[in-house]
Parts: sequence; C-alpha cells; structure tokens
Amino acid sequence: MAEKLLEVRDLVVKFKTDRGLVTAVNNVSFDVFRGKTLGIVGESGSGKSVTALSIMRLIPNPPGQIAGGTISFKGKNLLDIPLDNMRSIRGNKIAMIFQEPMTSLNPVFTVGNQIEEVFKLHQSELSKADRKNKAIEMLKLVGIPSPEKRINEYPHQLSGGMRQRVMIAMSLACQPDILIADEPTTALDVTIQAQILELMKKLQDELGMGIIMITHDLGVVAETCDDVAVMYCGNIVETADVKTLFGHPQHPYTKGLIESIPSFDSTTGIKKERLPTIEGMVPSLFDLPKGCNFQDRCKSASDKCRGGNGEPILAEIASGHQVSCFHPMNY
Amino acid sequence: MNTWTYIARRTLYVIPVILGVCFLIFVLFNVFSPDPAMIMLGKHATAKQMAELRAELGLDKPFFIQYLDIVKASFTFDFGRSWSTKQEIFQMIKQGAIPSLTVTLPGFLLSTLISIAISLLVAFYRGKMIDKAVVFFCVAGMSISSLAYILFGQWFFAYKLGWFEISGYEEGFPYFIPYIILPVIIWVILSIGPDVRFFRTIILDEVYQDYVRTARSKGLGENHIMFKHVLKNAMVSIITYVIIQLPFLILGALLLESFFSIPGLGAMTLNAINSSDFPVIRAMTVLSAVAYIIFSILTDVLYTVVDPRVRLH
Amino acid sequence: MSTVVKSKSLWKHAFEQLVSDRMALMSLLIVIIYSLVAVLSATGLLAGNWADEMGPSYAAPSGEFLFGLDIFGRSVLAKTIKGTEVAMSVGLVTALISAVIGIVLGAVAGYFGGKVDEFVVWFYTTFTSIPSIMLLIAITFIMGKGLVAVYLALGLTSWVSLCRLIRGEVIRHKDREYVHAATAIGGNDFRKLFKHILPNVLHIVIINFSLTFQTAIKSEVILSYLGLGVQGRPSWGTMIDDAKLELARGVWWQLAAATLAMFVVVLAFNILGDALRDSLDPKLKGK
Repeated sequence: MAEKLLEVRDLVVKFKTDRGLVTAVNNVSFDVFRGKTLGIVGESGSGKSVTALSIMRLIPNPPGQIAGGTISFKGKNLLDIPLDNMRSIRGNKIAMIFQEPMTSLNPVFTVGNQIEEVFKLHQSELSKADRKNKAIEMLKLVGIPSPEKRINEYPHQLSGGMRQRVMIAMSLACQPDILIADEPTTALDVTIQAQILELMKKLQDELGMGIIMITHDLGVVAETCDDVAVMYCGNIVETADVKTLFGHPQHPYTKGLIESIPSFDSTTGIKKERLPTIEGMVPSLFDLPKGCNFQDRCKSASDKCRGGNGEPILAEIASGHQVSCFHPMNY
Repeated sequence: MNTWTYIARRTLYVIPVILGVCFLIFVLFNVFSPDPAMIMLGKHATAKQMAELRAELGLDKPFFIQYLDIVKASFTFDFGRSWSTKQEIFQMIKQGAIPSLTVTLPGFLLSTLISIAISLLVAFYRGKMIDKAVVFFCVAGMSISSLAYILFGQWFFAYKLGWFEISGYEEGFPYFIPYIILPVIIWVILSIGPDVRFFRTIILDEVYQDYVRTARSKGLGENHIMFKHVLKNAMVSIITYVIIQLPFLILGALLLESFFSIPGLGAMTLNAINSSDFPVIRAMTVLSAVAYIIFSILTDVLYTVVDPRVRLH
Repeated sequence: MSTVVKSKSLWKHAFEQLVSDRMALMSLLIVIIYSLVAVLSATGLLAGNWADEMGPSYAAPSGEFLFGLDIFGRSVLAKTIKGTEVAMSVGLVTALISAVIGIVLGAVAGYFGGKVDEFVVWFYTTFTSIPSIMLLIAITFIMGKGLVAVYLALGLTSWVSLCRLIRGEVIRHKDREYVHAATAIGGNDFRKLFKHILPNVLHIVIINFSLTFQTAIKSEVILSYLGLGVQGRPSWGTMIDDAKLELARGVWWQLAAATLAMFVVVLAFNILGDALRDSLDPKLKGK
C-alpha cells in the first residue's frame, strides 16, 4: 500500500452569514495516498472547494471557521500548528491550483517572477540565477515552448491553457507531496482540458505526489482518479475506488450523476439520445430538510428518509465502499 | 499599436478638446455674460463711455475673433491685462504660482502619503473594529463643510491658542514656513477623508482577487502579499487618481489662500470673482483646463507603462 | 422575462438588506425628517418668523433662545430651519437636473454609439476639463445671483460622472440577449432603451442621486462664501459665511448650528448612499 500522506477526519467547517451559521462541510473524512489521485465530486455549494481550502487553512476567517476534526499531514495535525509553520508547508509540501488561470496569476508580475517567488520563499539557499534557471526548468517540465522567453512575459500574454500550465509549474516548483487541484480544467476548452489532465497524470508519475482533484465533472474523475468521494450539501454521501463507484453506484445521487455524463451509460454502455438529469435543486444550506438531504430529488425516497430517523450515516457496505443512504441501490 | 503611436493619437485628441473648452469659455464669458462695461462703469455711464470701454476691452470685435483670441491664448498663454489691476495676467500668474505651490504641494504630498498608509492599514484589518472606525471617521469628516474646518482651525489654533500665524505671507524660503503650517494641516485634514475612502476601496478590490489566494497558497505571509502583490496592483489606480489632481495644485487653494491671506493664484482668482475681472477668471479657467488636459494624457500614457494588461487599441 | 424577475429579486433583496441595516434605516429617517422640516418651512408653518427681532444682538444660547441670536437679534434656530429648506431644495433640484442630463446623454451615447457617442464623450471631456468651480462661477455670473442660479450652476456641473457610468452600463447591456429578444419581437429603439435597458441601470442612478444630493448641499456653502449663493434669505452657507466675522467676538453659535445641521443630513446621505451601493451593486457585495 502506498504511503498515506493526508488523513482528514470528521472535518467540520462553518460560515457565519447574515442569516445565521451554516455548516458548509459536515463530518468529512478521507485519505490521500502517495502517487494516487482522490477525486472529490459535487455540484457547486456541495462543500468540495471549502474542503480543499481547509486543508491549506485558507478559509477566509471571518466569516469561515474550521469548527472541528483533524487534518493530519504525515501524522501531524495541520489544524494545530502555528500559522508560520503552515506557511512553510503551503506551496512547499502541499500546493494548490485553481479554476481560473486567468485571475489566479498576478497580472502585474511576470510569469518568471511568480514562479521564482516560490523558490525564494521555500528554498532560500538558491541564488538569483539558480532561481531563474529552475523556473525555466519548471516551465519546460509543464510543456511551455521557449520557456527562456516566456519567463519574462505577463500572464495576459499567454493563452488560458498556457496560464494553467504556469500555475501547475508554480505549484510543483518545490515538488510538493500533495497537489490540490480545484476544478483545474473547468475554465478551459475541451481539447486543452484533456492536455492539462494528461500533463498532471504525467507529472504525478514522475514526481509521485498525491493529488486531490476537486471537480463537478465525473468525466474528469473517470479519466484521472483512483478513488472518489461524492459530496452533497457538505456531506460525503458515497466513497469508493473509481471502478466500484462507476460500476456499482449505491447512492441515488451518484447514480444520477453518472447517468448524466454524456456518452456513458453505466448499465447499457450505449450512447444515449437524451441525457437524464437529476430533477430538482440542491436545497439551501439555510434550510436543509429533516432527514436525508437528498430526499426531495430522490425517486426512491421513503418515509424513513423524511425525518424521524435523522440523517443517514456513511456506512461501509463493501470493502472500501461507503455510502450514506437508507435505501442503497444494492449490487 | 506601439506606445508612440498611442501617445501621438492621444495628443492629437487634445485639439478638439481644447477647441471645445475654448468654445465653452467663450460662450460663458463672452456671449452670455452680463455686459462687463456695464459692470465696470455702473448704470449711469453714457453710451459713449460704454462704447469706448468696449473698444478698449476688445468687446466690439466680432464673436469669431473673440473666440480665436481665446484659442490663441490657450497656446501662447498671452491672456492680456487684468481689468482691475491693469497688470499683465501672465505676470500675475507667474507671481502667484509660487505662494500657491508652497501650500498645495506639501499639503498634497503629505495627505497622499498619509492616506495611502492609513488605507493599507485598514485594508489589512478589513472588517475589524479599526477599519470600521476609520471609515466612519472619514465619512463623518467629509460631512462637515470645508469652510467650517478653515474657520474653526484659524479661530481656535491661530487666534485662540496662538500656535500659528493667523494670516499673512512672506516670500522666500524659509520665511514662508510659519505661514503655511496651519493651511497645510487643514488641507491634509480635508483631503484624508475622501483619499482614504478611495484608496481603501481600490486596495480592497485587490485583496479579494484570486491572485491573492494564489499568493497565500504559495505560502507567502500577509505583509508580503499586501505590500508586494496588492500594492503593485492597486498602484495602477492610485497613480491615476494622484496625477489627475496635480493640475488643481497649480490652480491653488481658493478658500485656504483667501482665509490665510496667501498671495497665491487661488486668492487672485477670488479677487477676480469679486471684482468681475473677466480676463483673469478666463485666464485661470483656460490655464487649469489646459493643465488638466495635459495631465490626463500623462495619466493615460503612464497607465500603459505601469499596467502590463493595458492593451493599446 | 428572466431579467425582470432577476431585477425584482435584486430590489427585494436590497430592500430587505437596507431595512435590516440599522444605521441606514436611521439615516433614511433623518432624511425624511429634514424633508418634512423643509416642506413645513416652505409652507410657512415652521420658522415663518425667522426675520423677526427676538431679542438683543448676539444673545448667547439659553433656555429661551436655544441656538442664540444673530447680529440682528434673529433666532439662529429659525434661520437654521429656513436654511434646511434651501439646502434640501438645492440638493433635490441639483440631483434631479444632473440625473436627467446624465441619464439622457449617457443612455443616448451608449445606445447609439458611433458619431453620437463620440460627440457626447467629447462634450463631457471638454466639460470636465474646466474645473467645476470655474463653471459654477461663470454660470452664476450669467444667471445673476439667487436660488435658481445655484440650482442650475450645481446641476449643470454635476452630471458627468453619472453620464459616464450610464454610458458604460448601457454599452454593457445593449448586446445582452434580452435586448436582442426585444428586437426580435419588434421593439423600437426608444422602447428598448427605456423599457429594457434603463431599469437595469436604475441602481446607479439611485446611488448617484444620494451622492449628488449631499455634494450639492456642501457646495452651496462654498457658493455663499464666494458671494454667489442665495440672497435675502438664510441658508447654511450664508450662516457659516457670517461666522468669519463673528468668531473673533466669541459668537460661535451660528457656525455651530449651521455646521451641525449640515453635518447630520450630509452624514445621513453618506451612510444611506453607502448602504444603497452595498445592497444594490452586487459587484461590491460583502466588502
């Protein structure tokens, strides 16, 4: 078994709002292993990005606050260490890339400057010339042509795909143990998307980091992940390895998500004429229903799901396969 | 398009704007204004006296020529003579500029620096008590008439406490210093409110940008993010705001100069207003408009230099 | 259709937020009270006797004369109330004039583009090149002194920022789908502009209105000092202007009364304007 890098247990994140306290992430647990990719899937507002930012301790406080749980990185709880120590981990041991390569890079500094900054911060022993050479090396690594020239360019002079490559170069500069990718391809064209995902896969093989892939797109998950956690309303509703999840989805929500992927039908394998969608809307975090959060959109919801019994609890139904549903779909 | 073509085009646009400004001034002062001859001679002047004076003032010329005179003056700065002092206006402006600048320049520099420092501080503590308190004081301070500040400041600190000169001016460094301290302080107090509010908004706009999150995720400290990443982005807007104020420094501080008897351009303009001295008012209007136009070009050009994103088209 | 729904919920949300903001609510109340005072004073129900001699010249504030008396023994309180009438009318009329000019020019420029736009941009560039104080002076010279001159001078010099904003917003909106949809069902330009685009930029007008209102109140003081303000009736500007001769004699109440009266309403407008911006401009939400 690969080395366990990150162990998240019972993570709770709350946000203070005008309308009261909301729980954006509720008792979330998962592990990240070296060389493996964990996918966290969910619609917007499901808490997947908040989970990612919590690992970096980047939840804006106020209004956000990590209210409970542990995030152990190589056995050390990141929520206990002083902020200064956390800073030396950020960008160094755990790095992150974001959805919008357009706005995530600072527009008034050159690409080179922004990559070199990481070295300056975490590898202060490097000389100025070394830093520059290493920055060029990184750009080469992520497949940017004529990096010697590109290093002096500003973000707006690059295409979207190139910018995301720069973000990846920047995040991997210090060869981190974990890379958190928050919807890294959502803002990109489909062809560029595939290139970026391939690049990440390749770099993972070379550098051996564990990746957390945050996405709403099960297609991306199928292509890149080893394990998957599906989030809904701040909870993980199902988690399994990618094969099991796609082959035997247990939660009606997961099943719905899989059925709505274009040209992929888990049962027949035939390309569908019309994609089924999950009806209804994600309930507001301000007034979650009693019982199961998914009850209003679920075809097999029963009285059991509607109050009385509380929320369904994430339980193991097969080795490595957990689901929180009163009526799992069964194998 | 390269920077030079851009500057050339931008400069060329000055021509219609200057022509427009001159036209507006012409319409306001030469066409619609009450007859200056009447103002100067009073109601009981004879028609002959009026006609003579009109000829002397050049008011009998056709409108078109009068307009051209204004356009010409905006390039040559030859504004003719004052009606009341009979001095050459250009000389008056030259004399008044130095006293004006001894008040406006220190006031401007101090208030800008102090405001940027305060804004960075409150942006750093955004949403906290100190931020809210500073914003409230800015708004409250801006809600008081500038005239009240001057009146109270002069009466209390100069008259009552005797800390500063009540009014007056002496030429030459360092003799003018005692006379400008209080006006400069009042200038700073008057400017800090709007400046801090503006700079704070600019800086806060940047603080919430995605690149700040990226910088944090790299492991950078808040100070470093604030002073390197945020400030450099905010500087683009701050510089624009600061530069465009410069022409108004030349115009002087109308109220401060008149209250503290500083013989600058502001006081000169005020005297001209009180004595309906049209050529002086017109000259100051043309001068400040030209200065404004020049500085707005300067801002635009500087903008392309400071902000790599600005694409010229 | 969707935009109408969206904008409705925006207004509803904005209203809810405004009501829940105690400071903003209080500011609104202050503005209403000032408006009432102004109306009562205009109809003569309040401070109608401001010109009467109530007692000795420069009597200090006391139980009898709350804010003291001025040089002619007139009640400073009554003058302040009369000044409220001037201030509120100056604010209102100025803001109305500037809104009309700003909206019409901005909307026309933004919507029609091309030569029309170039002309409007040239016009306001020209206009802003001249310092507004000089324009104020010139306009009051032409109009003669008095309240109407103050209205016009302030109104004619304060429309540019609104015009710019409206022009920008209209340009942003005119290529949106809902406007195209209106074209498809046969809406003419006028209808499109006023029925479909303007409601979507209305929040800018409202925010700008409260800003112009209070700036005008402040500018009236400067005009009074320059001798270009209202004549023959008290205004906060003339009261503050009077104080320059009074302070040395220890007469502070006229300055204090006018400054305080102005401070309260301008502050209220400032807070209200900020609250309106926060609740109506989603871009700035949460800052």
